[in-house]
Amino acid sequence: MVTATTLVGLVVVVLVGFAALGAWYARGRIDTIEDYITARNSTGGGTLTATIVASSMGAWILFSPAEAGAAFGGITAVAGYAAGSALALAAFAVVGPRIRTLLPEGHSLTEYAYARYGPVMYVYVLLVSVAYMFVFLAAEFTGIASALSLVAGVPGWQTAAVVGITVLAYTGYGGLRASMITDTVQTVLILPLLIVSVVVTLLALGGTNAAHAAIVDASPALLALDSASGLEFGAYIVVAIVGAEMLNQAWWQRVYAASDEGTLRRSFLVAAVAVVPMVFLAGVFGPIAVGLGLVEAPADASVSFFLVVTDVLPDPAVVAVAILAVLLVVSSADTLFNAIASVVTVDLPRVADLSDDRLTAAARGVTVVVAAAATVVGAQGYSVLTLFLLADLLAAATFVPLLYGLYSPRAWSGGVLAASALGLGVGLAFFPPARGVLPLSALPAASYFVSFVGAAAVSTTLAVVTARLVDRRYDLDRLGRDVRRLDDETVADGGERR
Amino acid sequence: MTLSALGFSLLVWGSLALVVGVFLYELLAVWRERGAA
Repeated sequence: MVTATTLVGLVVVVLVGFAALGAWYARGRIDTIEDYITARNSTGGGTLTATIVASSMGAWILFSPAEAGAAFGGITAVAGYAAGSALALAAFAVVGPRIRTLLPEGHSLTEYAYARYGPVMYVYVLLVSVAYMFVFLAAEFTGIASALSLVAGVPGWQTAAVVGITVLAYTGYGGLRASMITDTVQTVLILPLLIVSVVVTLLALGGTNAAHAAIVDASPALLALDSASGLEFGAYIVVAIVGAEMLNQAWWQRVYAASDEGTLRRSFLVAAVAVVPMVFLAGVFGPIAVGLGLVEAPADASVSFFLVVTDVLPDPAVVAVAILAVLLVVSSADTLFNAIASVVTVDLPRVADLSDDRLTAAARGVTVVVAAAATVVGAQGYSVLTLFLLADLLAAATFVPLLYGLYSPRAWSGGVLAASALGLGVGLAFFPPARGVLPLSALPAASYFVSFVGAAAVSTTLAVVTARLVDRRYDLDRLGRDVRRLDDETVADGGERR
Repeated sequence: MTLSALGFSLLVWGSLALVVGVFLYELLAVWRERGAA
């Protein structure tokens, strides 16, 4: 077995290398808060695709799709995971150009929510978005801590501290630009590492036919293409992922970072194509782990990938997989550090008269707070699954009413708030964990499928219906006038800032 | 309907081929951008 000291030493070397790269690239490129959180119109197709792939593919791909494959419906559940991940990115190829057209000087989804719908929707969207991103971040830290503990017995606090401190070092200094350049290198390393890890593991198992035979012997239902539980899981996970990712500030930042709209569309679509096979390849390890008899308890399903790898590969190969997992975490963590910092910083000029330097300092301060919180939470080894699902449900009830305002002048704040609230109410009524705390036993049985699909369907229907009921027209061109650059002489509401 | 061994094999190796394709595309795109910068 690889020793904890060896693995931590290797991880430190890799992460210090990325910290140096990020800091070196950002040096001299951060003149204003705009450079730190937006990097507007600066990024070509190769780098943009790489940063989207790297940011999207966290260590979760080594946990959740395999868990879905082992415990939630086999190969169809894995396919649903892959489809949801791809659709979320493909949606930005459509919505992204619209965002850039209507809010050419924007930065975040929250400032759009404020300008389009006012303060109540803004607060709601801010809470949902930050909650989702932070739970995502905490899950990444928790995941890598449990993975390195499984592989080499590394204490969780050591893993969380090493990752948190090094990522903070370059993201706090270089902001979005440092995040994107390191993402590019990480993608170029992650893809071949994933390819080699999967190929070597499959060969060690005796090939795909042997893996297939093991699954058929142990649990053939995991290969059923018409599995009801798998199809149901696949359907609601698509809604959950698409909803949550539409409220992920990281993508809104990258919409603005793209050099032009063509690059934006192409990069999100290529990334969408890229994540399908990546999620699928990681996900098939769930059924394979079951086939090999490695999933003995329900909790084992989430570490199926690592159970297979540690079972069949020699130590050097296991170390390579551990480094892959660390790269996946780092590529998402730097993105989320900066995304959360940006979503808070963008709104500060509305409540305080801050110079550009102070805004940049504030963004760095928020990055430090986010990194510290993620490190502490990640070191605890909490189960964040229920929190993740709750954040996904909040987003599922919110994303259509929120984005409807980009397309319909008739959408209005009261209507979309009511739509989101009622959608959330329906979702919570059928949300399985809620049954333990809410007196809802008179309702039909709870299920994630009804919960997520119901939340999205009800909120969508009501957003459209309430828009039709009231004879209001919002001038969508106002968005471009109300949302301005942070280094401009005017603030978001049109008044003088300094 | 159960996924056959051939179907499983095609899905796995096809996915691997797609990831290889994306990797090569990325390398080329990033290389060109760095060259142009």
